[in-house]
Amino acid sequence: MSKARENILGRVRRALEKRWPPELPGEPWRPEAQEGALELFVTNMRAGGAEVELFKSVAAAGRWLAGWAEQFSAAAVSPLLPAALRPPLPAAPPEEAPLGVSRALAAVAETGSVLLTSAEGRRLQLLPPAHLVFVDEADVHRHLAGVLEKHREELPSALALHSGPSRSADIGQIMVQGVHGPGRLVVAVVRGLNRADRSASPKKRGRAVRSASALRERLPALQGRTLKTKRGEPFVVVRVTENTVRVRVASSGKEYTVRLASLEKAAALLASGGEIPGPVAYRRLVANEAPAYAWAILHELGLV
Amino acid sequence: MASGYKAAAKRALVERPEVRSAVTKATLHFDGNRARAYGEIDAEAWRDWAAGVKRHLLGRLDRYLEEAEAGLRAHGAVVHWAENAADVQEILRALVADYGVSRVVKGKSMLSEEVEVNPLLESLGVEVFETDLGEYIIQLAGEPPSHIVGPAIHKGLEEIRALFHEKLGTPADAEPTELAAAARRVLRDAFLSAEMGISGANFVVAETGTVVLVENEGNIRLTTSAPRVHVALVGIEKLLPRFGDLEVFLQLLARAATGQKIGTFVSLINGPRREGEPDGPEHLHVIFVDNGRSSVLADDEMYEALSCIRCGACLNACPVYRQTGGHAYGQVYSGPIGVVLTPGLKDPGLAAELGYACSLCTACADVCPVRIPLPGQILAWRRRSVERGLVSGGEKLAFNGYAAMVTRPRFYRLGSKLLRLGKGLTGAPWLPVLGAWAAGHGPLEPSPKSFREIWEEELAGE
Repeated sequence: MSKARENILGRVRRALEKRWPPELPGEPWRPEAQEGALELFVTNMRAGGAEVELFKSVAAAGRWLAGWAEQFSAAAVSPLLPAALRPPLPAAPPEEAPLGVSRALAAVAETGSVLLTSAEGRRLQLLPPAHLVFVDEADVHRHLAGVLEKHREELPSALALHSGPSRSADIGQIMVQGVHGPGRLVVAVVRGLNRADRSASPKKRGRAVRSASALRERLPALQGRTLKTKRGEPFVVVRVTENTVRVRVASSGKEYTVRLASLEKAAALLASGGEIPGPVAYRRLVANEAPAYAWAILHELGLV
Repeated sequence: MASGYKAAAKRALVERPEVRSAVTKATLHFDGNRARAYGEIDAEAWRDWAAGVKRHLLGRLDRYLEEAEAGLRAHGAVVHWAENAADVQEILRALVADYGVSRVVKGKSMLSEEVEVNPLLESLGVEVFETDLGEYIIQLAGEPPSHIVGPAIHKGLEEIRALFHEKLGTPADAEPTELAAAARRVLRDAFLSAEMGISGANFVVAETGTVVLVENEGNIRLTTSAPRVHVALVGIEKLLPRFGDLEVFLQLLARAATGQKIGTFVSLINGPRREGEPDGPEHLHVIFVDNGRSSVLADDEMYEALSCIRCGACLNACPVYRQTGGHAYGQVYSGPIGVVLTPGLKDPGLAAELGYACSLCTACADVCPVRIPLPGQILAWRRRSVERGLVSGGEKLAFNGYAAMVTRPRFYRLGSKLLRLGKGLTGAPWLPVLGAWAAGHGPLEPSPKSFREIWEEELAGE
């Protein structure tokens, strides 16, 4: 179809030959602050039909969750959530679960929206009839602009803004909820959630250190081995030094370095009850150093 | 063109009076919400800004298309180019064969109507499910959409009840929630079993190669997430230069369309599923479609219409659309934007009829979020139709006569005098032109004295 491409671009260029385009406008007008971002977020999110809960700590949110979750029989839960915010319910696939639980990247006050990432899976955001979304209070932005700017550089395969339950007025202009997506959206704003992602309790930290030292002992055995990434791409562990692991991609011959410190951080995270289901989560939670290969190494060692 | 707009509009008004009441109700509702939502913000500032971004984009469209293509490819999407409907169909035929597709779920896309995707897929033996509730309703009824945003607004609750009762076996007096639940059951199964999802695109960001989709039901998110292949049909004018431009466009689109702050679900798609992601489509194909857009771009009087973000605000504001609904136009795009775009995209000859689906009230220009000069463009199509001799002889004669009269003082004076003398006659139904007008408005009531007479009396008094 490259002929179609050249024809279309050719016609567009001819059409524009004699036209001088106006300058691209700069910053647009933005509404002025009348209340705090959090207050505005709560107002707008509720106006959009969502329920909003506010918590001063992860522990408080966890206590609320333990009781609130009782109305459901099972849940599909985001792998990005810390252990403290995983509901005490049996796991179910999103197709069957009555509840999906997400970890939002951010929230927008002016539109009343939460920003979700495909890194945690999309089905759990859409298929269960009820959707619970956790977001850190510090990630509530006043303007959509701030959220877009923050996430522009590192985009997962899909970001989504959810601003209320699924709805339609296509039947005689009468509003109906839960048409395809969740009919109930509950947003829990939690202070200190981002810290809970990374830190663990002192007791667990002891275990994490043991696990990290085990990592250091077991890595040299991988030298010279051929491993596969989650996608099935083969690579060779070329060299394991005191601080780094060097890998070479079999197909392209390109080499990458994974820092041992990052692998240890991942091991600590796993030991504290966190999950790293794949390279995207690795990049988000640990480091953006060759995440596909780093994750494959963790996988080979049986840590993920 | 005897079977064209005028005949269809007449049929719509006479044979289906319930359409008029359903459409009027829905459009007034939408337009009221839009007016309130514009009032909450500095709508003038955002409209100026959005119009500026789109005009800039259209002025450098070639460059932005190349940038978007590169961005999409970098994310692992496959980019196709289609000059016309036949190209799109060929691409889809190949994709259906390559991926062994037997079921397709579709998100609402006007472009897919334009290039006739459903008939093609059905001819290939593929089962097609429109998943937007409104689109699903009209698919069941075997009708085309009648509004850009609310495809089934011409149908009232009673009609939809009867349709669902017949096709899905719901009770004859089912409540809207029951009807929606019945559709949800059928479509949920389709989402989970379809191999391919087809969507349109509200925007494609050139800077990041992001396909942006806006909706309220969640069906588009499912269409683009559940099947293993996602195909997005994108008109070449749908681009935005910068990721940050979405800030205003997402909010302005929602406010103009339905009065919401933002669409309930916004998808920002950057390629197929990545390593480590639990789900999502394995393949993303983006088809850039021209289908007449490059000729509209070359038209100095019409190209600004390519700024359109398909919010439907001009339809809701239009007193002509409010009476007949979209089907009378007989085209994919109806209302003021349809009148302007259709002749440019398809055939300039269509302007001879469509150009007159307008009272020149200019309400559309007052609401358009990207400031498309629709009334001027509609007038330009009328002028072109006259120049091309596409207007009927009688009409030409009448207007030439009228022009001759009002531009000559003596004839004008005579004419106005006759009107006053024959005052009792102006309501007579047998009078040509005036009779038809009076039937809807009551008889003309001319002033007892002409302005000229009053003027002269006033001067004499001084």
